[in-house]
Amino acid sequence: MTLKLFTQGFSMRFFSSASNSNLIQSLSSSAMSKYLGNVNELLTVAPELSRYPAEQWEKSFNTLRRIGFNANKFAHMASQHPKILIKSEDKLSTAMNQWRAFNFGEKLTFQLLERYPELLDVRNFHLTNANLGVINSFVGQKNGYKVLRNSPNVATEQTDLLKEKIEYLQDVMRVDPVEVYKSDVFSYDLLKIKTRHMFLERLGMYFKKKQGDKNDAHEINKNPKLSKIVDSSDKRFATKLCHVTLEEYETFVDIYKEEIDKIEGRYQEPYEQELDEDENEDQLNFEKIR
Amino acid sequence: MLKSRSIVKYFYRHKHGKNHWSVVEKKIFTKDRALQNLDDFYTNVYGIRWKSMRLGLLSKQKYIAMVNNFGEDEKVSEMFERDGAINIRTLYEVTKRNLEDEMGKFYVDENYANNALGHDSKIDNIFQKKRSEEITGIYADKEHAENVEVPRLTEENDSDKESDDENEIMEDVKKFKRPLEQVMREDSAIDYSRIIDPNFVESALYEYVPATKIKGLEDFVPESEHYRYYSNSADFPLKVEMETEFSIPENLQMYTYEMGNITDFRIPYRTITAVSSHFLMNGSSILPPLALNLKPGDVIFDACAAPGGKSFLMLQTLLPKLLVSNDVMESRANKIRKLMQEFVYDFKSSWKNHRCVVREEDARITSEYASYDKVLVDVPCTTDRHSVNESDNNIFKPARIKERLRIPELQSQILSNCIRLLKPGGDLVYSTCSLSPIQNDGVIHMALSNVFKEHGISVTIKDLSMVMKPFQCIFKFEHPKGLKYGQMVLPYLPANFGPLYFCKMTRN
Repeated sequence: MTLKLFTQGFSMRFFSSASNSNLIQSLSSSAMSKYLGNVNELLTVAPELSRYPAEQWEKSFNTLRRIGFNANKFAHMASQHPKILIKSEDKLSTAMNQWRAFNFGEKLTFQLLERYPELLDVRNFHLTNANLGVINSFVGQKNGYKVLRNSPNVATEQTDLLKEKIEYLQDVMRVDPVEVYKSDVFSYDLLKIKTRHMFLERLGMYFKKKQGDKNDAHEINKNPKLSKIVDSSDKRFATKLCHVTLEEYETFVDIYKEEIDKIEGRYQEPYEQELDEDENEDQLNFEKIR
Repeated sequence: MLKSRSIVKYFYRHKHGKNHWSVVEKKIFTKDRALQNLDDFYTNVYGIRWKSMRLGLLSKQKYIAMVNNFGEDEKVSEMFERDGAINIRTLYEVTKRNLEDEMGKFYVDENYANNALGHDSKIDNIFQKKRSEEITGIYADKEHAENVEVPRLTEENDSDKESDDENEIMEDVKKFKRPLEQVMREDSAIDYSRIIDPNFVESALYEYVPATKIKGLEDFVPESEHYRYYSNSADFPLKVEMETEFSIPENLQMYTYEMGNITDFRIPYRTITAVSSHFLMNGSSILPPLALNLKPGDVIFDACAAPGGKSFLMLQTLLPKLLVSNDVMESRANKIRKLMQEFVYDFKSSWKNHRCVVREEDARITSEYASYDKVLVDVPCTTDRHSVNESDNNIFKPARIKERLRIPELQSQILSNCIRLLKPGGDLVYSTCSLSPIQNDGVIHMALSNVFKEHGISVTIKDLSMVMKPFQCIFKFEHPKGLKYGQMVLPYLPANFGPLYFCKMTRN
């Protein structure tokens, strides 16, 4: 058995290295050779790329160049999102045009798409448009781009979920919009945001700003920054920011989830009601009579 | 033609209801007030650790299930074990054995034992701060207020350090200072320059009546007075001994989940003997009755027994010859009766008034002196967990401020009287469910001092740190200790029991 597995693994590895060398050979003979010096390195970073033939590489490379991405950007995008190689020219240019229509400016649009090439796969631009509208109304017209750069999932998230998050940040946490676009808050689900906020509130480290209090505007905001609250790992959040043990935070996550489930009616009792033997018999008899 | 309805509508001003968010937001509930008060006080006492305790207090508490021996005990125990709960007695014995193997029979390190640190300087600082805040609040003239001398609780012997020059300057400064009483007396005295002569203009009398006295001044209790109950002058003989005797009676089957596990227990059901299958209680509540170390044939007095959980635990051991469960109010005593009837089989005919007596009496005036072997005093306190979670029946209600500030006095009176109820050599456990050092160590100190002064009774404090050590795997105890006399279970989220303070003493 072990021998069989060993030979299988060996043959596969052999096959992949063989295909890699073929690919590198054919790429070096093509027009791409002068642009892509380190195909080898690229293939180690993203082994999935070896699946695609050299023609596909060339085609995709030319298309992206025509749109405006240079060779370095192509290498980065391909390593991030190898499936970009099989996207047709039509689809790529349509997506590109759609992204241009959001008016972030040419430079910023390219930066965004280079950073997250997955955004070129977006099909439902109506949804993206609606989401950006909601975000802009919260953080300001200019800063929508910054939110998208920090949390690209905003482009495809359901608008209702996004609205819920904004409502929570705005009405319950009362955070400053500046803090919102400086953090990756929209990358996380609402439960995590709520858990971290409630944890701090119960520790006595987060106070809700009073609404309409004129004196309050001059007071120093002692609440921790939103990016520190949501962007840190569980351990860092618990020990560095809250000065408690990780164990306490982990227990709180469970307790708070249970609390939320109870409020929203999703809570299930851990034990099923066990019927007594006599009651069971009664039930059976009743069924027989029926 | 004008529609009458539109005119009415024009004058009608819409006012939103009580539950509108803007109304709810502005309203300060009693529990918020309580939390604010505890925040102010405990941050000074516990420092950064208060945050963790606060989190525990505001989150779901953990329970311990005690199997009812009057029901289907074996079946229920099996059920709990199947659910993954741990038997506390087994756990205690195993941990104790491990500790003995590791550290020998006397398994307590010196750091852990009672080293009488106390919170003296902290409480003194809080008292000073509160007092000066109050004085500045009362007197608009801030210069006066700052100059008022506040007597310190702790006597400082640093007079040697002061040079003669400094003394002279201090004396000069003191001339301008006036004590609080003097300022109040002078202010309330009749100011003759403002009196209107009735012969001169009679109508002027109706125009202005100068205030000479503040109404209700005699009822005025400054908030800072509360902190003065924590005094540390030792004026009575005190002996502290390490307690080595402790066991969990065999009849008691109690179950809990390990630290970090927040699973709930099953809801109690009615067994074939028509009593409930098990009793769910806050885990820390088992410690005071267990610390009494019950022996067969003991006569026990539970001074403030309602709702009766601790009394029921003691009854379950079957050790007491007689258990007197006492509480001051009829409604509270009825709670005990109701609980006993729900859990004890045939309570009315076989137990009531035979081995268990429920009665309503003020524990401050009970006069069966020197007649009990064991006394449990679980005094009324600020009940921190309840106060920060429920606005109903909350002691931090503004109308109950006098009651709250005087609570240490009541507690010490109860404790002093209960010490007198003990037979010589009898044990007493004092417990509260508050984190406040004033209601814990402060009250014990006050009561011991009173009892020695008035009745010449002295006691030996039993240090429970050694016997409680095996419980460390399920409870979070106060460590390093800032406690003089007792032990304290802290709210800690993975083991969210307590808060509970308890202290054991033996009458000499």
